[in-house]
Amino acid sequence: MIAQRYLISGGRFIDPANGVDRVTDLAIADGKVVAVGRVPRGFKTATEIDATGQWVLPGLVDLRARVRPSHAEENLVSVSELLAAVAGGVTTLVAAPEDGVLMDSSAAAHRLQQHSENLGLCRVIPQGALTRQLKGDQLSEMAALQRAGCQLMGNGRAPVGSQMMRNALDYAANFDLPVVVHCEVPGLAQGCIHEGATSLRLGLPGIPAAAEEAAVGRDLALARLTGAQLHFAGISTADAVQLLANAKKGGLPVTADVAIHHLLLCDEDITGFDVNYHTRPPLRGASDRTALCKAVRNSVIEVICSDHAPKSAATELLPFAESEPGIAGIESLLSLVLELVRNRRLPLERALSAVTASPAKLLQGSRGQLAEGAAADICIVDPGRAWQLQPASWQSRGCNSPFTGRNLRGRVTHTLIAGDLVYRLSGDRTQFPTINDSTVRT
Amino acid sequence: MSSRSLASPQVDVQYNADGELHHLLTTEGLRRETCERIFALADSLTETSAVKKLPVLRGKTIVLLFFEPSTRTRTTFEIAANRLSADVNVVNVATSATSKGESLVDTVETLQAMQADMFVVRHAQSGAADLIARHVAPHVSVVNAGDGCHAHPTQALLDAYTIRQRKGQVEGLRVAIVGDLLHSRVARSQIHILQTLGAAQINLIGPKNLVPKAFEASGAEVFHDLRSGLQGVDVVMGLRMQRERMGGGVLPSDREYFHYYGLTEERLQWAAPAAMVMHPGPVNRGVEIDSALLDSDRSVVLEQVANGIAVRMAVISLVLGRSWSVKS
Repeated sequence: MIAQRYLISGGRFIDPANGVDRVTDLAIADGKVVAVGRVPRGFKTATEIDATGQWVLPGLVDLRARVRPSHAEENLVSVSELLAAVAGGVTTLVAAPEDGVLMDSSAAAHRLQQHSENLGLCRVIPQGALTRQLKGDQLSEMAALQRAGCQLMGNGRAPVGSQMMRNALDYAANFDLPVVVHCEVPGLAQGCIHEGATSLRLGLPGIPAAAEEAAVGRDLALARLTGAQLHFAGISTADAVQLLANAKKGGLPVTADVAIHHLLLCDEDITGFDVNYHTRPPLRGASDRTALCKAVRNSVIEVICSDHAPKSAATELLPFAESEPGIAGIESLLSLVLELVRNRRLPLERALSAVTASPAKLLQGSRGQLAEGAAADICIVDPGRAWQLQPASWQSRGCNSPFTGRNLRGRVTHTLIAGDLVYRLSGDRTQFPTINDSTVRT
Repeated sequence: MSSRSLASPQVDVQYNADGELHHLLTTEGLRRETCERIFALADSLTETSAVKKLPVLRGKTIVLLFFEPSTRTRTTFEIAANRLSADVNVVNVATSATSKGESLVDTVETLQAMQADMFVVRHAQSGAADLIARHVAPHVSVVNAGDGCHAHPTQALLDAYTIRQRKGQVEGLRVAIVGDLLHSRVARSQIHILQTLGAAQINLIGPKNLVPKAFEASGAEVFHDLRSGLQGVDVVMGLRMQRERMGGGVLPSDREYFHYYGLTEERLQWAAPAAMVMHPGPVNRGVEIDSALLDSDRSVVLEQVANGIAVRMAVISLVLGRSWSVKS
């Protein structure tokens, strides 16, 4: 397809990476941003998108999202989840190493990228498996995985012993490969909910905050020992934030992310056995939530992710402890980030940076920003638009969200990837101009 | 079941729109007048123990669905339902490790087709009865006979009933609960009902690993020392210690436990003069309570068992919307 020329006019253009926030026009041609502000003569032949009253942002970069629902028949990528991504303004996402097909061979990495490229929706970057079959006993062929397009390595939530982790980090450092770590000491994490008053009330086995703190402590020590670049995924506790803050103050070049739901919910919100509140790590205490927001504000935690984990409805029929943890949330990510801004938890620029420029820094290329010459991955959001979150009417096949029924403000109206308009909200109807597929919900 | 069921707001599922008790899942949020109504019904039964069988629930079908072994609770529910003339089916579902989750909702769906009016459920997972209550047909009631470590409401009701029998009322009493609070569904349900009925003080006593300080969020007070916890209490409730937790994994030995937390006649002196001793059974003699105390007139353990039938009859008939009046 030959990318069209677009003129996005009259919007408030916010590009945190380049420190830009002003009302201006954007000219797009050949898949790139060709002009910001000073639109060249003769560009009038372009299709105009009137963005008056709207915000024009770099497309969102989601470091942690699953591209297929649990128990889905597809083994690579579900189109539903990529439609969900672009409907949420996400233009690049990183798929987990255990997502769908195990990402421990270059063939798997090639297939995932080829398949998602063919769909022409969100860009999908595979996260390579740190160890073979994620079993934690043999290193994967990291360099081969890197050549095949894996820009990050990680072992998902599967535990890695200390000696193995040390080897893996040493080895990854040879190739400047960032390693994503999920921090939880397995022996301390046999519960399903944050250990505290709520776990005691419901009689559910708890996971103490110390399970995370102890694991973050080990991996920070190993980062110092090996010089590897570590990214701490899904930080959930105030104690872990403190450890990260101290390490960063000492000059250790580590990064971290938090899932959006950990910034908005805490264990006190779990009043009954609603499995939509079952997450891993668990929703922590109210003071943890406050500390996490502060950490994002201060860039101790640079990145906010959706941690999108769509589940089929059948898993809701299990008792809480036996249900699969996770929340489907890629379509609500930006709206919920804007809620944090509205509630003065986060300043606008930092909040937007946490879903664009900051995650992009961990990836190659120059995503997450819109300087002239950059790929035209763009998200346009109507900041005042009210909508109600109803998984029954969104694109993702996952219906597991504790935010169901929540009234949100701010909704993505257009998403462009490499200059192609892939998503448009027209009235209340969602449209995917590049997709001709009966599976699209409108 | 809808394929895309939506998260429902956490409404109290126990009561129907008319404020009647439709399910009994937990004593948390159970209204005081509901408790009093159950006690009054149980009273009228114990007064007329000569009447063995009441024709109250003729034509009703009650399924006892036990995913976890139980003798005492299952038997008393069975007797209670039989005395009310209901048709009773006992289903013991062996939970295989492979298909634990599926079998729960699947089994309930199958049994519902058999025209059950009530499920009495015991399951090893906290929240199992709640889950079933949210998925049965609207006319079907669920009574929780114990779910994981969460709740055992009929046990708590019969305990409160037994206290009331001996002490006149629960209001104003000081109560101690001793033992493995962490894993006890009985204790959780007792705390809620004692608070609802106006107990003046609830002391939770046991070693730190079985009685975490965070329990105080419930409004009760935590003690790791038996003597200070028993100080001046009117009721002492012992809890069953699971043998598998006594072999060194959680506690070093039952001997060491008894040394610090075992109830004896001598230690009961620390409590109020006429303090009564309770235990949900089955008792490990010499671990939670020594034999002499258990067999003394301070102990009401056998009364608890007898009251279990009356209270469960009261619960079943109230939930199924059929109360009776017995005339001598």
